[in-house]
Amino acid sequence: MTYRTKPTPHGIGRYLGQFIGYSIFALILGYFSASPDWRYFPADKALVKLSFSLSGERKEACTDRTAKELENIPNSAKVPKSCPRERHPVRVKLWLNDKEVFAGERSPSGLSKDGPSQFYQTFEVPPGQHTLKLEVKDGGPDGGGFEHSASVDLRPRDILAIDLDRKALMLGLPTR
Amino acid sequence: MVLGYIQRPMEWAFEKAELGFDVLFGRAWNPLFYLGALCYFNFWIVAASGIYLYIVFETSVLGAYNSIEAITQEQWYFGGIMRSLHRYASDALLLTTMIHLLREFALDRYRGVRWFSWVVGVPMLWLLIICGINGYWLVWDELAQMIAVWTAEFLDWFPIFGEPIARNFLTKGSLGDRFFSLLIFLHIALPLILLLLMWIHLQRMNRARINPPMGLAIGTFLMLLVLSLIYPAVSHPQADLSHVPEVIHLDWFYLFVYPMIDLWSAGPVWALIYGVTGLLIIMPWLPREKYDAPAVVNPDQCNGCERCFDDCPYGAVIMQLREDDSPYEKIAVVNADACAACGICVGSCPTHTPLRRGDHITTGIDLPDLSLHQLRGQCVATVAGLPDDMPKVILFGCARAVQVEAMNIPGVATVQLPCTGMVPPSLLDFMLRRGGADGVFLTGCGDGECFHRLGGRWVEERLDGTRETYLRTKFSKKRIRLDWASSADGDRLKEDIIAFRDSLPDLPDETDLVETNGVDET
Repeated sequence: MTYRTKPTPHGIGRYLGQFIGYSIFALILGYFSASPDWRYFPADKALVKLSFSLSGERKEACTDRTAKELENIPNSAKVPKSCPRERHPVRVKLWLNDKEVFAGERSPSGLSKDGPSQFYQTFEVPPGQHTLKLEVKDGGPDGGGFEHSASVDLRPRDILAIDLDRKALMLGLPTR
Repeated sequence: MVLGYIQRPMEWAFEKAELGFDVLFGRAWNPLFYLGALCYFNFWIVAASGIYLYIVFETSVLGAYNSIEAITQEQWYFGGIMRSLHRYASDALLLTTMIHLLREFALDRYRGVRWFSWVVGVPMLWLLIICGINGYWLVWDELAQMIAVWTAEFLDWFPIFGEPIARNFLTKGSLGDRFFSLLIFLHIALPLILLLLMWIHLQRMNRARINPPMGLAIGTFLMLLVLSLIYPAVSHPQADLSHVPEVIHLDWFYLFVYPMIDLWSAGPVWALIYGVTGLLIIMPWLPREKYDAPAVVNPDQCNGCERCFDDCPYGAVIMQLREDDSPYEKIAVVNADACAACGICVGSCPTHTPLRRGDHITTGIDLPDLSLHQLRGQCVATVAGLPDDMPKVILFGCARAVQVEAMNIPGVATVQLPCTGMVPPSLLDFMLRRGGADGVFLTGCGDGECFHRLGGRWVEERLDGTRETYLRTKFSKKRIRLDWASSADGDRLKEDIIAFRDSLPDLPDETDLVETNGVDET
């Protein structure tokens, strides 16, 4: 038999002590599982998402292979044109109500720089009627590009998604 | 060392908290001694409630939210409670895990042989958080929408994905039903991987406690149940990718990282995550205290009884078949890399029982830096140095609790050990019969908070006669006192030792037992 002198609560005191201990733990769990609130987005703003995936023009044009060149190519890869893989970066400018809100350039993806350029950018804007203009340059510094314009009506907390399907403008807006 | 400045106040705080929980819960149910077991217990509640939720969950864009809402509102008395239990037990699991981690750090239980459990625990922590975040996606409410977009933007900070992941959440039509099949698959697979890691986490811990005492388990479950009834878990409005949520009721246990991304942007948060992870992983190898030499087996004395194998808290002793001419079949072998030199194996070894006065003690397993022979000599010498005009007490303490060598109590000789579990009952026997002590007082960090995990438990069981090696003394057991005390408990312990010393003259004279018990001569 050994003798230990640690205090051990007995009877109702023991259960009262546990009740206090568990209550404190439950309060911590209950409170921090959903509080304090986090203000994720201002109530008086709308959100514009500019996001698309677009391949720039090839840096060098495709050339026809000569008959001698074709002879040295395995049958499985024998195509009449030779196309260098590298593409131009894509440059984008976005204006809202004639004010430039974004200007950026993205390199082609992939180790050979032959993949599409990827854009994902978000902007907070005031709600209301907006005219947007999108300018895309996909043919290098001296090359061509295209433009789109549209008019949108945004309410607070609306999300406007600006996307491109190939070169056509796709706008994602809340259904009213 | 900088870590020491952080550890010491934390250690003090934990010891004070332990004393507080002793008062509230009693020592046997003190939750701070069962943090790992409570993690397991909460995991099982999460798993059981999760199975039910999986049965009713619909894996589609519309069905996900509606199925969860249906059980929350229409089946609040069961489905709603299961959902709330799932959430609160998950929160309790993470909170308990964090306290467990901090306590092991504060008490310096992450270095040396414990590096394995510590390092395995680091990915477990992140995996647990990922499981929680993954779970919140499934509800597909505004909170899930926010998490989805934020997570995608956070991952897109590394330009390694072909197309930004965030484009999957651009418009309502971006998301397909298969996305929820993927989420539910992850929400089953990731916890199973976590469970596997929980098993690996304990591989170098013998007799790890994975179940809390029944009373603590019932109390914890009732607490979660009552919380689920009073404050049930509910959803935000349904996710709508054409509108931004304004205010989010965040679960700060699992989702604390998102406000950080919002405030600091993705780059610094990634740096913080990698920094914290790297620091946690290298911590066991940062400049450390010196560990004593590992235990060694004396083949001539070892009889293969397996008691040291059974008692070692770290699985550092293994039994092998003998290949010499010994009549015994097996021999203990020490894995030096896993040995913490706690000496518990010395306390369990029966080969030196009973202790004699003159012989050189050679025991089956011993510590090179503090052999049992040296220990006996130290005990006899310190007691011999005590004055004769008062009762003589020998006080055994462990290096991880109250520093008994600094106590300086008249009439009390002190011996500090790596762990109180190193004391063989035969040494107590010897000190009362032959060593000149009138009483023996044992203290240490003890069961539950024992630095070497099992030392306190084995001491109690050996003295109670329920575990070999047994205490065989015929002296009154009132001459032996066991009193666990943490570093914060020093003043009370000192009072108890003085009271014990002063009680000894009131005990009947037992000197004749020295001559008649015969134990010494057998």
